[in-house]
Amino acid sequence: MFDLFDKTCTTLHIAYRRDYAKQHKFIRKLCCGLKKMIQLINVTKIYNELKALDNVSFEISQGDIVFLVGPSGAGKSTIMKLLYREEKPTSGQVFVSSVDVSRLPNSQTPLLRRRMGIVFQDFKLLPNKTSYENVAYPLYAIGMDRNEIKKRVHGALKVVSLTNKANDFPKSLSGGERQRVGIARAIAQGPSLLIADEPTGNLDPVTSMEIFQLLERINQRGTTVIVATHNQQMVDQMRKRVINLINGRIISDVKIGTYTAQV
Amino acid sequence: MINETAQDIWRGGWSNWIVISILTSVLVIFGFVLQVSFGLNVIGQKLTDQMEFSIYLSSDVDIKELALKIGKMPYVKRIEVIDKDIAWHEFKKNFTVSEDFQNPLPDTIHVRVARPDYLKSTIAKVRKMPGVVDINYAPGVLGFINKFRNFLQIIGTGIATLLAFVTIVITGNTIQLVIHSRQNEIEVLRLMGVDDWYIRGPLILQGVFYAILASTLAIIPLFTLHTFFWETAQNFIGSILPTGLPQYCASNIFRIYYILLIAGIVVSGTGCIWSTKKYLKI
Repeated sequence: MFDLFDKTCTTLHIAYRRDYAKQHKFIRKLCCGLKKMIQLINVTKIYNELKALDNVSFEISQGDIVFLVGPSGAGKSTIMKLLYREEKPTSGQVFVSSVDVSRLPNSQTPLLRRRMGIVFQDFKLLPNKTSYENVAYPLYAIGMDRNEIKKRVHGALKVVSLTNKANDFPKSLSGGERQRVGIARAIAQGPSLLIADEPTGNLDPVTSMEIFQLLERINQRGTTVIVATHNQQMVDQMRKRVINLINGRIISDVKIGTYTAQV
Repeated sequence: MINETAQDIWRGGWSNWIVISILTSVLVIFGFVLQVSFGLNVIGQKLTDQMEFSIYLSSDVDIKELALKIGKMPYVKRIEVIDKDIAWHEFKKNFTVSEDFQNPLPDTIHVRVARPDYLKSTIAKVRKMPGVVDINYAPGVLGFINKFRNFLQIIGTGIATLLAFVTIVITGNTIQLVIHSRQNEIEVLRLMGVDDWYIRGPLILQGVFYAILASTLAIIPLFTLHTFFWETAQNFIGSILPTGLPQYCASNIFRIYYILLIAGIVVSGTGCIWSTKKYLKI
């Protein structure tokens, strides 16, 4: 009798958990569809009379993953720099989570950047620090509690499957592992937006695939991901939204696109 | 932040010592000017309060008669007659002089008045007396001290200013080197949303470290100089220096240290701030 009751309860509990997970995913997707994470309105950027971006406008919703593609000098990196306010637009507006980044005072810039994670092509790891220390360093610098740092760093290293390399220095890591440490550092603050500028530029195809899959996993956890790349093969395999830029202009913006189909 | 500062200093290598040695030189010169000016001020102040003067007489005057006459003047409290032969005898005891050398010293009368206010009027009256060749009194020495002090202040301040400018430039260049070597780290920190002060702070603290070390090093020669200065002063004008004055002035070496520390922080801090403003993009 008790066995039957116990089994029934267990079955019901599992069903409830499945249902809850489905509902939660749906609500998250719904919210993601409703909120704009990034919005560029008629953005033009001119460097010394050279037009890097020409009247560019697009939106990215919360929870999306988007690939910015195009040849070198197309304006991909300029868009990334505008998002994390490394640059200001010559004209137009750039919104990140409804905040007009182009009008953001300098004193507020660090707060904006804490809400996003940035992944670099050249990893930018500090050679004299271990993987753990590289991930923890910015957290220490923003004054986070030590216990919280420990928790977050372990969590981030777990996401990128590098808990076993926490005490290794960058020189003893492979290129892919270094980039994974870079991604762990970027997600350790729990950002709502992850910006990756040519994250696989220095990596072989197999490792690049791993990195793209990792970025997709991070996106599935609710983080909006924007990737600037000219890695055709990977973009084609991912079958996600692709924005194609040439000479600072958007020539196509396709919800489920491929690199080759656009160019 | 202290750890970052220590690492930055380590990264600076030999250029740290260039900055510290030049900053120390600036502070030694600045401290020397301060110290001597201060010492001369104290001596000058004490000399102003002196109530004595010396009268040098020609050889044809009856010294005893003149001494009686001066002794009867109002406000004259005490006189002391020093015969030139006795003075010459005393001089020869201390210094080797050829027997052929004639006594060049004049007969002298030391006069002490009751109050400093009466000093000038009494000197004026004595100066008119027949046989008085010269009168030596503190305000005369004071004029010389003031002129010397002004000269020293102008020259010292000029050299210190020039060296301070050089220190600012060298400190700035050292900080530039540190910024360059930390470029990757600084970029990571600022793009991860680390506050401006956390990145600039260690570079400014580095300047404070230079100032602390340089002012501590500068005080060593200055303290030695201080001891030498007062020993010399005791030898030459010890009779007119009030007792306890060197000890009183020794306590001021700490005041000079604080002034040097602040001056060092201003100079090296200016170099650091200038460099971070110019080379650090946050």
